[in-house]
Amino acid sequence: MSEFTNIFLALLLEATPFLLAGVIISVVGGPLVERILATAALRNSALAVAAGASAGLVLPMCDCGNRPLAHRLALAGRREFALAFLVAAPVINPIVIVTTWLAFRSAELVVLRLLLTVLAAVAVAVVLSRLRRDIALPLDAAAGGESHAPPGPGTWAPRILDEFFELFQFLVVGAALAAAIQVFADQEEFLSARGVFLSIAAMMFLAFLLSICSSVDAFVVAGLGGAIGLGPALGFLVFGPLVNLKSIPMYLRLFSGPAVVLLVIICAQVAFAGAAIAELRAW
Amino acid sequence: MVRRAGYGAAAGGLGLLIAWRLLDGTARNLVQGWYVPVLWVTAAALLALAALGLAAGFRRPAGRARITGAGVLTAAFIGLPLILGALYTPRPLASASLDLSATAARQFGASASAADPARRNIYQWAYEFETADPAAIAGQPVDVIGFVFRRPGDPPDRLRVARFVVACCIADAQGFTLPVAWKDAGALANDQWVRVEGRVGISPDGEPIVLAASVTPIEAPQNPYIYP
Repeated sequence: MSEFTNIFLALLLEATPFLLAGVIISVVGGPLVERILATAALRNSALAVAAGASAGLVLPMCDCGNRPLAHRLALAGRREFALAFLVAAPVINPIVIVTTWLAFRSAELVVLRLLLTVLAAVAVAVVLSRLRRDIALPLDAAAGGESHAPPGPGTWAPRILDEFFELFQFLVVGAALAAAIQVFADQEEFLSARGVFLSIAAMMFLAFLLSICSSVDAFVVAGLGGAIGLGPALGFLVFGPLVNLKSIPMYLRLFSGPAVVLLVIICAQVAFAGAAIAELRAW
Repeated sequence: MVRRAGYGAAAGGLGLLIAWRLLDGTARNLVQGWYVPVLWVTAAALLALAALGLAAGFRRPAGRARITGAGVLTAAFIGLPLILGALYTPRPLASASLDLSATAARQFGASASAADPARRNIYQWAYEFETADPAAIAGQPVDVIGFVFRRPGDPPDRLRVARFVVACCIADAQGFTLPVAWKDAGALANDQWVRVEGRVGISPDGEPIVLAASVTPIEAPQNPYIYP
C-alpha cells in the first residue's frame, strides 16, 4: 500500500504543475490564441492543422498541460488546430526532442518519433474535425456555471480554479489507476513478448499503463533493456504520450465519447503501423 | 459560492501540502531535483489563487447549498490526495522495489559513462561492470554511496549496494546495483545507507565485483536518487 501511495503522490506531484500551467495559459492566453486563429490565413483547414501540429514548438506543453487550451479552442470552433495541437504538442516540442536524442543518440529514432506523431495528429484532426456532433464537452465553468461576469483579468482566478479542479479530479483517478498498475502488474511480461507485432503491441500497452510524462519517457524506454528494437521503442514513444491510463479520464471529461474512441483508434493504428514498418525495414 | 469557496479551500490545502513536503524534504523522495523550484512556484500560485478565489467566493451572496452525488464524488477525488499526502510521509524507494531480473537487461543513458573512476556513482559503475572488460577495470578505486540490498541465502560476505535512477518522478525509477565483497556483509540490514570504499576485483565466476576496504553506515542522503 505504501508503494502505491508513493507512486500515486509522485504522479500527482509530477503532473499538477503542468496541469495548472496549462489551465493558466488557457484562461489567460486562450483569447489571444483564438484571435490569432481567426486571422484569414489560419481559417484554411490545412494551414490550421499544420499550425496546430507544430504549435508545441513555441508552446512546449506535455500531455497534462496542453489539454485545457486544446479543449477551449475546440469549444470555440477551431477544431483542426485544437485536435492537431492536442495530439502533437506532447511530442512535437523542444524538450521532448532533446530528451529523446539524449536517451537514444539516434537521429533515425528521433525523426521517426516526430514523423509518426505528426501523422497521428494530422489523421486525428482530419477525421475528427469532420464529425457533425460537438466533440468538446463544456466544462461547468466554461458553460457559465456560477460566473456571469465578462471574462477579463478580474475573473481569471476563479475561472482558473474552476477549470483546474474540474480536471484535477480526473487526474487523481488516472494517477490512481496508473499507480495501481505500476505496483501490481509485472512489466517483465510485456518485455518478454516475442515477434515484431506482438512486441510492438505489448510496448504500446505498457506505455498506456505506465502513463509516463512524454518529457522523460525516452529515458525509460532506453532503460528497459537492450532487447527492445526500434519498432517496439517507437510504439511506446509514439502511443504513450497520446493515449495513456492517466489521461483517459481527463479526455472523457473534456471530449465526447465517440471523439475519444476515434482518437484512441487512430493513434493506435498510426503508432502500430509506423512502428511495424520501421521494425521490418530495420530487419 | 459554495463550490467556488470549496475550490479555493482545496487550492489552499494543495498549496500548503506541497510547501510542507518541500520544507520537510520528503518531496525529493518522489520527484527529480529540478522539480523542486517548479513545485515551489506551483505551491505559491495555488496559495495566491486560493486567496483570490476565496475572496471572490465570499464577495458573492450565499445561495442555498445543494449537496449532490456528483459534488460529493468531486470532493472525494480532490480530497483523497490531500488526505493521503498529509497522513503518509513519502519515503525513498528501497530494496523492496528492486527487481534484479529487470536490471540485468538494462541499457544506460549517455550520462552513464564517466572517465574518472573516483567520481563514478553506482549508475556509472553499473555501466562499467556491464560493458567493460573486467580485466581493464580491475584495480580501479571505488567510492560510492547507496543502500544495502541482500537476499535471503546470500553468502555472509556478499551484499549489493544499490541506488535508483529517476528521470522525472519515481514512476520512471530504475534500480542499479553493484556486487560487493565485504567480510561483515551479513551484519548489515537491507536499506541501510552505506559508503563503500574499495577496488574493483574479479569474482571466481569472472565477473567484476567491488572488493570493499570499508563499508561505513551513513545517514540517508538528501537526494536519495541519481538523476541521469
